[in-house]
Amino acid sequence: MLTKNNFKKTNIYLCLLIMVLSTLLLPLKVLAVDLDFFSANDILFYMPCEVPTSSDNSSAGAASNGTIVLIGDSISVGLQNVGIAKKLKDNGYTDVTIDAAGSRSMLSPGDSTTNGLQAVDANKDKISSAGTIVVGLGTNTEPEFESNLKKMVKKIRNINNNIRIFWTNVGVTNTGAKASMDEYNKIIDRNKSALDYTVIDWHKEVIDNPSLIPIPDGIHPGANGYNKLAALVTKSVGKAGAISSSGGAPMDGTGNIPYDLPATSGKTGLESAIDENGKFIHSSEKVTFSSLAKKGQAYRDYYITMRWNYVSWNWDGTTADADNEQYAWMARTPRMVLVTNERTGKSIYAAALEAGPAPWAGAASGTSGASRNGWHNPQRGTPSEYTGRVSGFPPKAFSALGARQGMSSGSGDVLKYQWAPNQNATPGPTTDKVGSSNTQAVSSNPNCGCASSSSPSASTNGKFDKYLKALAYTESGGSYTVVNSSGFEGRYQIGPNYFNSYADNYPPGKQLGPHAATMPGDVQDAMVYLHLYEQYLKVDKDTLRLAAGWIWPAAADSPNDPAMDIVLPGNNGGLTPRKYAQIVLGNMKKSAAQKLELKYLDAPEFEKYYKKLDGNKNTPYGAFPGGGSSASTAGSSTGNGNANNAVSGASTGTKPKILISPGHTGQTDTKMMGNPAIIDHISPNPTEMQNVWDVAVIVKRKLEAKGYEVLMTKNSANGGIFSWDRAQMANDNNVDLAFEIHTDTGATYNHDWKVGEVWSQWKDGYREAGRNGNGQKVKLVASDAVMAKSQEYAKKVATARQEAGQTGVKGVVGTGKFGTRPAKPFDSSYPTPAGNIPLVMLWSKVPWIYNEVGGASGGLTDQQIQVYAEGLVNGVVESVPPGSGGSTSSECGNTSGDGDATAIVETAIKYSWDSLGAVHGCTPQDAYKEPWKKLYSGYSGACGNPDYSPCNQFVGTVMRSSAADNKFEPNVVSSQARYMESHPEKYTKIPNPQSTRDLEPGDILVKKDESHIMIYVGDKPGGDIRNGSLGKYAPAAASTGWYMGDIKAYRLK
Amino acid sequence: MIINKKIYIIAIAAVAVISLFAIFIFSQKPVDTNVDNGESSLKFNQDSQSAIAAYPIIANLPKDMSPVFRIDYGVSLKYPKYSKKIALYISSDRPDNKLSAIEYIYKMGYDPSEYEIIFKGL
Repeated sequence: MLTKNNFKKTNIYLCLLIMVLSTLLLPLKVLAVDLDFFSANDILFYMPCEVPTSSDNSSAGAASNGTIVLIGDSISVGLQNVGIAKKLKDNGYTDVTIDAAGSRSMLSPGDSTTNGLQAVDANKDKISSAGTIVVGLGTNTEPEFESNLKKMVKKIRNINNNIRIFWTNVGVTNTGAKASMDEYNKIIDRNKSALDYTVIDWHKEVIDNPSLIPIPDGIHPGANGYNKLAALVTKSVGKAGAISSSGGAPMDGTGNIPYDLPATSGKTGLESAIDENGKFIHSSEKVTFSSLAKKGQAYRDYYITMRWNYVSWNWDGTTADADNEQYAWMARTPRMVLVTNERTGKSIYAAALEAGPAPWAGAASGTSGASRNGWHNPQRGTPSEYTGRVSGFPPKAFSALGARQGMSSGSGDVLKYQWAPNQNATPGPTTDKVGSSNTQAVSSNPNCGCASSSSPSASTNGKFDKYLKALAYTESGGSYTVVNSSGFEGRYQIGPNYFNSYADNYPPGKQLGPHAATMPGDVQDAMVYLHLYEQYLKVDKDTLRLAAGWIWPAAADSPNDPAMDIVLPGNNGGLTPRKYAQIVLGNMKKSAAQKLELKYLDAPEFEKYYKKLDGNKNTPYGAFPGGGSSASTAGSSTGNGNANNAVSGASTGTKPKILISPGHTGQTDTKMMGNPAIIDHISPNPTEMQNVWDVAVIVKRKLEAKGYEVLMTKNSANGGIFSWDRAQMANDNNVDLAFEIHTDTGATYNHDWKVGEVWSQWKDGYREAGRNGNGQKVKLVASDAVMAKSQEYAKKVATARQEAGQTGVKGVVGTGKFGTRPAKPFDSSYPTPAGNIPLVMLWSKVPWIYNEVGGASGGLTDQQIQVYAEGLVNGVVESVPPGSGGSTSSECGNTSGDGDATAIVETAIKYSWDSLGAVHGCTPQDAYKEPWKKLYSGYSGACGNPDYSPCNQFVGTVMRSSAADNKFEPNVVSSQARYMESHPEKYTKIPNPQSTRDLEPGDILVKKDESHIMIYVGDKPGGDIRNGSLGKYAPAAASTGWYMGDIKAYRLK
Repeated sequence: MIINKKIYIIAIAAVAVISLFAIFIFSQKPVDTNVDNGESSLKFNQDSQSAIAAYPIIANLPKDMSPVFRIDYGVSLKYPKYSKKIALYISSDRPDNKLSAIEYIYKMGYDPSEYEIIFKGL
């Protein structure tokens, strides 16, 4: 039965009205939050007309396979008559089922034996395998139309949850039927999102062209109308096999998604993180398609904002002229966008959940108002000539792209965008590329010739997380065991879902903002965080600063950039980006003032900005609260006191070891020494390299002839290794003396080959990084004793070189400059700050001296080379006499002539196995037998006769035979402990070492209950301990292991 | 009786001389009084082996390999009363050097997130 009512064009634009109003009011809410610049900058748009979607029954992204079912009434009969089946088959549908009957409704069978609901059951098998179903019911009036519609859809979903459902609404011109049909169309429309189906808008077609339905029926189309409807249906369901979106997104007839993206390329920016309710974590505001956030964490981590085309955007961020159909299409299910950063080769699938950024966000400098920056006001989408930001991503997506933010400076990555070829994809990183052959098919922009970039970099997210977790967990000193998954505690916000739900979603360094005042250490933590981003996610520093909320650099760099002085919508006290920057920095200062030492990776850069903020360009970095100390702390390990620093007795009873280091290498190379500011730099200098190589060869030959063991840092004139490696070579071999050989055959010495210098290690010497230094310094690691030896040897070698013929050579200790020359660089920077000495000398733990000599510009003559070599040889002999075995008269401050910690270590190693005790059992090292017998001859026990196993005897033997302490108590652990405690002039007690960091090789370790004694040897094969085990093992290696908290240590002074 | 007394005195003197000689002799040679240390040292070595098995990283730590950081091991702050838990101690004076140390752990083939790591200044 048809009803007769007046028709009235009444599309529902209430939602749209609310949307526009909300857009106008939104900024007031945005800026009410905690000064999060990202919110302010991006001016996110919130569409209050949230369209609830069915996440449970979603058929998002279902592929339209070749099976399609049509269930309908007389209108569908007409479609059948005009050959819709053929049209569908022409579009690839190989299996078309049409179940249509006149006068049918959902509850009435009409001309059929089945009503609409029953028809679903009747076609259950087809529906279960179909990719698409089209329902055309509603032309015949029926009570409870809405509840029946819901039942119908539910019934279909119960059979096939992934099927795409299309519902053809009612198009009539019959004035009597119009009123009820209008009501039905409202019902069909308002349930489409909740029930996840797509409306085929036949009604609109009829309104636009009433002649499609001839009078007097006013209900059934004419032939032309049926063909038009068939075309509409066919277009709507698209081609079989094409990837379509949920609920059967309207397709363009070619299988493509019908709506263009707002932009296919353009810059991007960082957006805020959202929670599962689609709310920004920092506030209660919701993103545009907030209900879609429930789809899963991946959708929240990898969403994209663009100026979607369903509204026109004004420069001030307001919108108008909405296309609610397109809006509904986007609201129905997350529409997937493929994004590629061609610079990094990284791509992601991102879900379209939020609208924005505002047109002026990230606009080029000098732009404001309408018709600027390529913007036509109003503008639907983003014009291709627009040079600002066209998109935004939350941190995780941003990082996955390795994106650089495009801000006012004009920098930033230009990303490529297209509708994802696979709308069924889970948001996240992908190897697909925009414009690649396998993604072109559904590109909304067929002209996009974006070349596929190289293979993507391996994702670092997992690694990053691990780094962060380790840092977060450990930086708290173990005190944070935060497991609160719903919030964050402590400055690291640690928890099982931390990286998934919170911290990763926060802009890194957000702690600098609202939490700065209450979280000591947050500034430094943020630097760690930022460094991680930079180091492992390869995000550039500009992005990092901005990501950290540091808009200040941008503001400072753009003093005339009006974008930095835009009063942010919502006003909030007249907040501008520039003011915000000052607030952020103020927070940093506040935090720093508490007790922090700011040790910035980017100290010089930060200093620059600080100066600008302060308005005093002469304000030193050190004036920044807590920030000045970095200038004197980096690399300082002076006084570390590692016993290995001592060299005397290093090679007891053996040939003295000498390391010769002929200067320079055959190539230029640099090596970052952990601290990015400290660069170990090697470079070629051909003339000098050949001269000093010739000298080195002569010296080596002569020293070996005199009984020395000589090592070289290179095997040819062009060889060579880094300063660090040279120092380690000396340290590892525990040489008695190492020396550099250099020439400076230029103006420095007035071309005088007899003039030169011998520099020594200098306690206050350092190496300051950078051209003018940036406060990062490497200091001497050698002990005072080693430094003293270096100075002693420098003088002796200088004297020997003078006597050999280089009469103008001086032995010098660095006192303000590196030698007596004009400040001369070691890193090509002029002038090198006073106090700098070569890195190799700073890193060496053995005596190291540095020889220079003048000469003509062309280099040294053969005779001069011979003189140079002779002086060096004689100097070595004077310093470390042949046959001394390194046991020189100077004993590193131990004037009694006893051995030292190094001797303890070497002796302990010599007398024990470098494997665990179980390997050799009671069998001792041969070297241990004789010295043991001198003290314990005749002792027998469970390990036989003799029994070499007792721990106390091992320590007693080592201490006495190494000459470390000839009076060391030989027996009973407790007695040995009493002995050491009663001789504080000989031993320093470390009562409660917490880690091996508190120990030094050569330390005597005693279990706190004094039931075991052993020797700590440091990083040695087999373990850091050497000990015996009564009745079980002769002296062998072990590890402090679990006993660290159960030992005390005694250190020979 | 007089003879007997002389013999008695001589005997006592002889014993005294012998005793003094014995004392002298033994004073020149260490005495074995270390039996009580046996069980403890054995357990230490066995636990040492177990500790390395549980934490193989402790046998490979760069305690002294870089001028900018060092990595040690020691007592756990998280589990201070549980001796069989250890922590890694990274000593450095700058955040980026801490990261270098962590990266070093990665390069050694270990996952730093699996360890309790305690940062210390140099």
